[in-house]
Amino acid sequence: MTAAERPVSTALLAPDRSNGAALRASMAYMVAGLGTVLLMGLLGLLMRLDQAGMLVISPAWFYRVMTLHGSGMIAAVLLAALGGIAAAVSATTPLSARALWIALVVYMTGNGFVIFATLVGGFGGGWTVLYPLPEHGIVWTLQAALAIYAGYFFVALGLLLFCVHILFAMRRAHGSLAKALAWRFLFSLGRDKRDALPRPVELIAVVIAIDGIAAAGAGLIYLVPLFAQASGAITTVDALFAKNFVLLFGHTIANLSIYITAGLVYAALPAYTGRAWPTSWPVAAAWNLIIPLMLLNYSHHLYADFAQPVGLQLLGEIGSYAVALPSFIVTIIGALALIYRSGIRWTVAPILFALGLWGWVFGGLGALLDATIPVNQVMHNTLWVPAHFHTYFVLGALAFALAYLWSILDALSGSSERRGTRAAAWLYGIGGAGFILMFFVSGANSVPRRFAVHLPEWQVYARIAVPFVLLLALSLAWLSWDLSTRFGSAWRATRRPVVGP
Amino acid sequence: MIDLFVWEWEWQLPLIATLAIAELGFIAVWARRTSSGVGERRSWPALALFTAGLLVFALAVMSPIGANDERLLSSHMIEHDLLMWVAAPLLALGSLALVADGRRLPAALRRSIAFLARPIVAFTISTVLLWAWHAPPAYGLALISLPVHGVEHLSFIVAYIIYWWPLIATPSMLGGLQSSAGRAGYLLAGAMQSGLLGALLTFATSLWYPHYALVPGATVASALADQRLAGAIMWYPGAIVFALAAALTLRAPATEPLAIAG
Ligand code: HEM
Repeated sequence: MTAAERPVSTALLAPDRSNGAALRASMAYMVAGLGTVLLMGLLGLLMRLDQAGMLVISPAWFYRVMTLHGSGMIAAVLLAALGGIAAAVSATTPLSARALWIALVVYMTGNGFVIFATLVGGFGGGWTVLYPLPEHGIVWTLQAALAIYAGYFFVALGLLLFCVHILFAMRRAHGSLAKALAWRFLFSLGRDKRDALPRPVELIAVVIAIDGIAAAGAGLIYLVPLFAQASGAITTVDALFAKNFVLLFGHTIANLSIYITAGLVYAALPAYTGRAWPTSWPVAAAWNLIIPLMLLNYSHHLYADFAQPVGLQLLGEIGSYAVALPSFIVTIIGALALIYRSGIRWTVAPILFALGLWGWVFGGLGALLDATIPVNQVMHNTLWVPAHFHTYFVLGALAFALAYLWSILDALSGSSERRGTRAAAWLYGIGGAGFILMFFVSGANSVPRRFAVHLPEWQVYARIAVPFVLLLALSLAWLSWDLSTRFGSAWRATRRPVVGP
Repeated sequence: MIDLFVWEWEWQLPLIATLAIAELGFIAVWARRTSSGVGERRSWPALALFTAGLLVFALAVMSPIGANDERLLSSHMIEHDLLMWVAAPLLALGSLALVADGRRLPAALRRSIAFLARPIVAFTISTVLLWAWHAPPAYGLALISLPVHGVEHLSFIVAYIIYWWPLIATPSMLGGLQSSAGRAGYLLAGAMQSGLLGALLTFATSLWYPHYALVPGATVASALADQRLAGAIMWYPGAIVFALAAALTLRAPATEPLAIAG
């Protein structure tokens, strides 16, 4: 029997084997997301080379590149994460491939706007598009600002379509959202088990769909007055209102990637450790808590805004601390308990999952420090901030997303793993850690973030970072090449017979 | 800039005659096909769609939108939008019923449709024609010669009927794109290439078509502002059209009940 004829045996396929189409759509999300990450990573390398003084680009181009890298990466990692969660959920909850494809086209249309607004229109106001800066560019025009807003509009719309579909699908599959969130079980402190409990990844899908809808809604609320102002219908927009909403949008979608990809750990790790990860009471409580907490913690980005009501600042601080409890304690401890003495084989996916857990912890600690008001006053505009979010993106969310795609392609294609690729997975950790460490060290030494030109005394950090970035690039290229060799047969396998129940 | 807009219609007899012939020709074929039996119903929606397509074509070219295309680039771009994104898909949808059963077409016609409807061919034709006609020399020629202008519009219509065909035709028909992945990729490619052209026009810092600065009452500054608007008119509504097209043409695939092996 050739590899192409081999039946697929995997937990990915629905009992009635009808989720092949949804799986293919999900795989397209992941591949589009990770492909974009590779391109945006090259822009990251370009910026670090510039900051090291090893390759000089003009400040105008630096800021275009920085904006495209930031928004492109955020959108790309989120896309890969959405694909992962759709694939994981589709095995037990029927999803509409049509809805997934439509959301993908809308989302990617938004990315097109961002690419053209930055590379052609010269927009360089940062991925946060913080009002009123986009409308007062010296090197870009109002049209470029409007184009980036339009891009965010389509991305938010694509996200909204995806999340609404997930919510409806979950409600249909479980009877109600309360059941999909395991509320009876949760509020009876785990005693009432009459409702069939959702799998952790299903519960997480509902949580992120709710927060995704809130984030997309905030994005749309932010954009409407800005378009109205550009058209002359209104003259000013309240800057504090705008800042709250754009951060509620941007910070939450950045957080979504991190939490969604954590959901992928719940979905895939049990297959490698041979131990089940059921929906226990702590899991149900933790993820239900994340619904409000994820929407609160954005306001740690507003500590420097004296006009922000103090109550909201405190809420932001409490939210930022509190979110660590459910996510770290439950997910990290749960995952470590699953791995501990399980006899796990350290193949590519488990290596990447483990790196992701590591990155989550360290990135989270960096974030906690930054969320502490006195520390924030000193650190917030230094490279400490990119350091913490690169940690849980590069070593957390991206590692999880890669690991999950790897596990899917592995299971579907059935091809055996190359030994060299494991080395690439470890290299990913080493390259990523070195690169990020230099961001932390720069931040601790008060090197400002978003500076196109670094003073000679700062350049040493970037110079040390560059070889690590190259290592990271090498490992990503290697992993991607290996993934690409499995992709075709995995794609075809979604149309093939499956074995067993 | 808005002062340059003149509220007038531009009746063009050759165009009216061409459209009337097209409509009559369509009706003749439609009536023969749908009355010749072989299980086909008389498809009134097809006739309505095709007629609507021709009406939009006529409106785009002869209404004040088209009548101002030599004064305002933005008006010209609205005209192009209507041709490519409204008239062309309507005409393609209307024609669908006539070629639904490829076996009943003459072999040569079937082969040509099958060739043109290959996604790569359809995408290349629509892209090349769109970009070529927006190149300043070709565009300038269209502005000073009515026949060339007519050919430009006709080629947009034909190019975009060809573009929409693989999305509109069902997989069993000639040239229908089979998979959702293929459809999504094709739509995105179409959106990106026209979006890029719109973006280049929006962000251009010099005039692409100096003709518009020479219109009585216009200045270089007003023509540049008009050009920015024109780019946005090509770019933004295009994105909405492609998103809508995704909603309409990405169909749920037939369920794949995979057999249980072993
Ligand atoms: C692949 C390796 C990567 C490299 C070499 C890299 C490099 C950089 C550099 C040099 C900056 C500018 C820092 C500053 O001076 O403020 C930056 C900013 C940023 N990066 Fe990355 N990065 C990488 C991966 C990622 C990933 C995976 C994400 C995921 C979301 C990401 C998101 C961002 C964001 C949001 C910004 C801030 C942009 C802004 O301030 O507007 N990066 N990156």
